[in-house]
Amino acid sequence: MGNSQLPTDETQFWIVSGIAALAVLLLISRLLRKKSCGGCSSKVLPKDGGKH
Amino acid sequence: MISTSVTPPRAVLLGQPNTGKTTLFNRLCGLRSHVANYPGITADARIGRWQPGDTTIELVDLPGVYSLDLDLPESTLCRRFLNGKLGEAKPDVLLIFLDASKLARTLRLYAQATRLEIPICCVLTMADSALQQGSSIDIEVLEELLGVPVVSIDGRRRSSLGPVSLAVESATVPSRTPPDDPRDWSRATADSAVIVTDPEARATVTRRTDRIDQFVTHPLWGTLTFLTVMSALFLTIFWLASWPMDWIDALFSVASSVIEGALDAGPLRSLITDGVVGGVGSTVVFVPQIALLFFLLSLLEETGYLARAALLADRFMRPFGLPGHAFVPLLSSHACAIPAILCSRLIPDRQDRLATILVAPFLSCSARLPVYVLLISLLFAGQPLLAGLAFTGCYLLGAIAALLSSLLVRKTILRGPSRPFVMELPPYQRPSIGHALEVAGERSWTFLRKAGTVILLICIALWWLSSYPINAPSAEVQSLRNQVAAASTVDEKTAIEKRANRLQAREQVAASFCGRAGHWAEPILEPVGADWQLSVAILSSFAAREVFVSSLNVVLGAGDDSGAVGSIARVRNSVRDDGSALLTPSSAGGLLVFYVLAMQCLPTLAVTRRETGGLRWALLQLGYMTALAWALGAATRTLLIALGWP
Repeated sequence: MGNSQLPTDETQFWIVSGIAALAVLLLISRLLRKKSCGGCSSKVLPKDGGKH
Repeated sequence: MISTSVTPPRAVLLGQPNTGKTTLFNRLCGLRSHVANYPGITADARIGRWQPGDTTIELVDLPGVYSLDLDLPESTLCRRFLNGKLGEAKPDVLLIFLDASKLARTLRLYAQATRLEIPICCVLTMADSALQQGSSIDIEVLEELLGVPVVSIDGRRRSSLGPVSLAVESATVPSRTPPDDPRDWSRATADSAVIVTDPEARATVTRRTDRIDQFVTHPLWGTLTFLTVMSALFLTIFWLASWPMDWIDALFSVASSVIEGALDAGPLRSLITDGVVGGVGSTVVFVPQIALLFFLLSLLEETGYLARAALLADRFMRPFGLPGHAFVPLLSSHACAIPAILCSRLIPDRQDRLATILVAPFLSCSARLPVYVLLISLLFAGQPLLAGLAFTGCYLLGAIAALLSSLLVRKTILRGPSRPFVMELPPYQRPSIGHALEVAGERSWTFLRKAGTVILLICIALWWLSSYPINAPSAEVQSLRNQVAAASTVDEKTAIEKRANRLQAREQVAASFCGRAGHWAEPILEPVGADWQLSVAILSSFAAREVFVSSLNVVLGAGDDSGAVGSIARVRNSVRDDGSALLTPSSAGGLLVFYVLAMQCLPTLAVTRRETGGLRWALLQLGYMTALAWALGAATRTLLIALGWP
């Protein structure tokens, strides 16, 4: 058992739900603005439109 | 010499393949494009910024070309770019790469470039190869003969930056123009500039190279050598990486325990321990494997051996309808299918190109590594030799699937012969440990960055989906809780309480949003060995395969009360609803084959769509690969069960 003073389970639910919603929004925004590949290590300047 | 205007001056790197352009480009711009000791790596014009002192120069790395006049995609691209016909102004400076070990031949491209009337400076590379062959270049004589500045460099060393900067500053339009047919001129110029220090050395090096080549490109011995080299590579990875992996795993377990000790049980603690630490930790644990793989592959590439493997592979590829040009894209695919598909642009024939793009994702990329490692570790625990062989088998299976699929499409929707392959074999050279370390570091950092961003976000979302909605404890759990109160000894109380907690946690995940999705997909994925928990991990890794491992840990972590230390141990100790092991050998085998062949990568599909100019090829790729993965995964599991594996 820990020794912290955490909020009630209901408040914690709203906190973790907020964090999860934020994570989903960030994930969607990353997917939408991604111009080059996420898998390889090539860093490509925007000028070539993600071609490498 | 560079003019100052509003836009930064543009310098273009031009040279024959494998003369070190991309190495210098990376060094000057601080970028990390893929380089190797074989020709044809650069498929497109890449632009970077170089800042020598107070100036900023836009640097362009063009694909390697033997001549600007050829009717090949890379020659056309260079020709149009240099003439300012790609919507861009003509370059301000040309850096022409000359290979010291093949000076006469590389001077022909220089001769063609002089017609463009752009200020030129020459970059002499491969001086070490020339020295091995018993010759060196008199730079002053060469400068005098060409009428432009010449600088000799080793692009892998930082000390090259200063001389290149000075040469660019003093670049000039050549005062002497070579004749239209530059063959005699280039030979005469090279003869005047080359100082032969050891007349026998070239013959000795050639003899030695030929002898090695005869062996490593022999249909039988060459193939055996290739298989031995790759098996030894994977065995080394498994053997060496196991220690740092255990340390990282232990570190994350300690972090989890510390947090559990500091926080009261509740949603926040569960999010941090199961979602963040458990999910990200289970991915980060594979960094040593990735670093080692790329370190060793980089060493192998630099020696020049992989170019010989290309020649060997061409013999196998042509009967399957893949052009020889496809080897470089397919080899790049071991890192990531995306640059491989982009690299396919250099394949002149459209049918050849489409076939290459369709099959490239079958080759095992770095994102598959965590999944392979997890499943192979479960299949062959404590048997590094078998694990290494299984790893080689995964790579071979991907390659065989690519070849047979190519044969299928070339006999059906993409009929026609493939073009023959001509590739210049690079010299054997001593690999640079520093460069290999850079490559390994860069690959590991890319992986870590992904674990800290996309994978972390997916883990948080997945944790929430596997924790809610809250499910009321079942009658069985209630009954166990009642038994706790009635238990006579402390040990008995603890044991019953543990059982009740485990059952409740499991029921909670099963009734969560994730659990419902897993139950929905279970009948479809059951043949390859997945229960509802594994189905959740497979579904969540649709966009990126490596998410499989972290998703599985988040789902198992949310319903776990076994106290298992480490992510692999947690998966090994996990059970299905009926109490049997989550991953039996047959299930692990089925899933392994599924992940070798499945198209679980959204960015690759997007690139296929863009490069093929339509959605239908991307959909065909997705449908075909998924169906094949499912069918062969199910067949593997059935076969293993029939052979007596549980």
